Amino acid sequence: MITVQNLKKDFFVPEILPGPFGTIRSLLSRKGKTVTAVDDISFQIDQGEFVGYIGPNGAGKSTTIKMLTGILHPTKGSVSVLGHSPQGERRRVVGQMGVVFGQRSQLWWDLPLQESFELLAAMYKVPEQRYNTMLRAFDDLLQLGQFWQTPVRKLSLGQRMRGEIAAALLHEPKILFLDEPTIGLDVVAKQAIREFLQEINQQGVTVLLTTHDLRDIERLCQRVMVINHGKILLDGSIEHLYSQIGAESTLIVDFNQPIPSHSLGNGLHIVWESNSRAAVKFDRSRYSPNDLLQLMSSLGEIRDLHIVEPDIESAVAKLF
Amino acid sequence: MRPYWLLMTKTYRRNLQYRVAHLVDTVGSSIFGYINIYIWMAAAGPIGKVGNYSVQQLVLWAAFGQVMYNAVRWTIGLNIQLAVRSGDVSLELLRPIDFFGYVISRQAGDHLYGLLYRAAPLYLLYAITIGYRIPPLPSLLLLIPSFALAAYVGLCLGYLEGISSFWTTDIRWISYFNMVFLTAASGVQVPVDILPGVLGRVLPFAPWATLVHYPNRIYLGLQGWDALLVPAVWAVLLTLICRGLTTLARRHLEVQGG
Amino acid sequence: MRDGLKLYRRLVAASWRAALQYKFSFLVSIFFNFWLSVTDLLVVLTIVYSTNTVGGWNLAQIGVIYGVVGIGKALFRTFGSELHMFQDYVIRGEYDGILLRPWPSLLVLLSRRFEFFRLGGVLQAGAALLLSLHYLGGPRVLGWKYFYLLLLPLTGTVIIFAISVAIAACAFWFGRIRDLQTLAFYAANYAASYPTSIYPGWMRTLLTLIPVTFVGYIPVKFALGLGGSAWYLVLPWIVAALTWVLSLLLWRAGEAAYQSSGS
Repeated sequence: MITVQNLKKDFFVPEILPGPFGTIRSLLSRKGKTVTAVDDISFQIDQGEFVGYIGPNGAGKSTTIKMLTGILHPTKGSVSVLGHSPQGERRRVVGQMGVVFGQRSQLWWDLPLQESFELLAAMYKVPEQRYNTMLRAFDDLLQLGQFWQTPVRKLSLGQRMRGEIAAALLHEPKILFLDEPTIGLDVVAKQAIREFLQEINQQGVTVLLTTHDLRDIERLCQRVMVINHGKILLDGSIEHLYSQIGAESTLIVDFNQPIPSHSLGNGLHIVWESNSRAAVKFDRSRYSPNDLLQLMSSLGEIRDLHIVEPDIESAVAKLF
Repeated sequence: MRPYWLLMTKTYRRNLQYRVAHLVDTVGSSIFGYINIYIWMAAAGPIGKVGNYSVQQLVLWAAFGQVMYNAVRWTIGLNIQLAVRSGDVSLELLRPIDFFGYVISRQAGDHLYGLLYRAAPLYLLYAITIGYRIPPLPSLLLLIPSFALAAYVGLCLGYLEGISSFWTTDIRWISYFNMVFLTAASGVQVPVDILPGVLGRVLPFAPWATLVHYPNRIYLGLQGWDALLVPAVWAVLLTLICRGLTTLARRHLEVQGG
Repeated sequence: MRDGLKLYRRLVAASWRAALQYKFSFLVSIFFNFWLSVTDLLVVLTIVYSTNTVGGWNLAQIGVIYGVVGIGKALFRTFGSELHMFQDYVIRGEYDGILLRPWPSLLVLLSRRFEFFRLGGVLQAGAALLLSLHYLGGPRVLGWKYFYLLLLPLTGTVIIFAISVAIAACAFWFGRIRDLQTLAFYAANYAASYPTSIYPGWMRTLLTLIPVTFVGYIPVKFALGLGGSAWYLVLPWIVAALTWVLSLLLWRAGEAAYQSSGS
């Protein structure tokens, strides 16, 4: 589906020379430095895969995606999507992919969602019957009907994102690229979107997802690629990732009454933050939160609890 | 006075960073002056004079008019609308210095910069390529208050654009309106008193004529100290209007909340 | 090609409906734009009215050039507003979204937004053109050239569009293109509203390279019997075609150099 070979992208950052007429002189001299955003990477993605693509800000994630979608032209190496080059045959390739950039909208700001969809259907030549079937499916899964007639600028972030994802899938693309689709959403909205993406993937759509949320990856991706400084550091299953970085989540529990200090055994280390609040670090590859909860409730009556996840930045830092 | 002075010098220094970009911009805008000059030479050349203006005077008018225009033009709305949209304006209104004075002195730095790095090179360019006139000393002395009034009235007009953003979300139309009078009724393209019919009789008394028309007349030695009258009256009137609207804006903010 | 036009029409219609959501304010803004753009005419009027001729052309004759250039300029601002604002697309990296559509990128860009209120400017320049032609004797005196001049704004608009594509393409390399726009759009069109014969050599060369002189002056000169040859009537079409070819080449080169933004 997607084949990437020795892909490299350099950006030229002109140096602004000091002194009078600095800007003009630097324009003429073309002095400056070359920044390598993506450095000689290769990978392959097959049909039906759900791949997470993660890394800190500025690691080269977006640059890769922009080369896969034909926006940027590579400095070296080759990209092939569905057997074609997204740069050479941009219109042909782009017609078969759906793209969602979380920070940017592809909908018409002033028009109701419905009109945006009708325009997209015209743009991608979706036959009317297919269009109606797709809409019904979207409405079942994402409840678009509630804000069907609302101009896009008046939608909440969660509503807009549901609209964006549906819009990207309207023409039944074979590949879906998602850049931070859950950023800034509340738990319920995140959940709805994750379920929808899972459903879409099961229907055979190949998905490449970049995210800052490790839970997205855990719930959705069979395969993770980690990129930093333009190089791919890890390419494998989520278990493989956790075995490398240790998936140390923290469960924080508040008890109804003070608990005399206890240790849990099983190699679990418990830290008492007050006499009624305990924090346990645990490895997700060995314990499920549920197991842990049962252990904890044996200590006393639980009033409240929450889980703190490791973030991607610190996780990737451990890969060195 | 000290905070106002500081604000002004700060804006001036910030502008210094973009000298070269602005120099390119100046060369670009010089072209408008040349176009006006050649239009006047072709139009007035054969008949010798238009109204009370000789060809020579019209050519100098077009050149010096472009210089004045570049010295007094302002940023749309003096950027007040940005602070209103972001909500920062409620903080700025709370500061212990006068809001009107605060905005005006911030922009005055731009003007000082514009005078030295936009208007002066432009004048030099025209002086070399077209010719120049050194007005007699009394006119030269009168040019100073005339320029100051032009810059101040321009800032007030920009302030009015900006302050209107308290009541309307889009100041585009108001600034567009202002822009149109700036091109047609300031004197940058034609002396305001030769506009046809009633326009030529009314518009010399409108605030926009302060910006280019009157300084130009002093520069060409066509008018003496009486060329300061209309600008001075507008400076006073606009100050009152701006201050009045600032008070209303403050009240509006108190009622509506930040 | 046919498909592209169909899509474009659809997108224009959608944007038109959106503009009509607020009928009253839409009509007011067209009306306002009409009167505000009359001031452009006022300046020309003042100059020619008080001198009778500019470079041997009378008011009605200059009015024809003014009208043709004015219509072209205003139609471009109406239908090419995104091209006019193109530097923002490049600086903010918003051009990404344009490239993701399976259509020619210029078509997608141009169909994103329209500024219909600028049709007020088209009406104003159109009225100036009609009135000038009327004073020149209308179809009875001008014959078939009357209709040629009525259709001249079409080629004019095509040329102005092509020039603006070239200007916008420069944003792919330089980011900010306001200065270039001041020179090649605002100043050039302003100068081209008069017979370009009044300018000195260097400026005439500039106005030929940025081919605005072919928008009005050249064809109008021959059509109104002020000199030149019959060639002058065909030149605008040739220039329009050439400028489009060059602009599109520049656009394609720019697109390959596009750096997007962010990481």
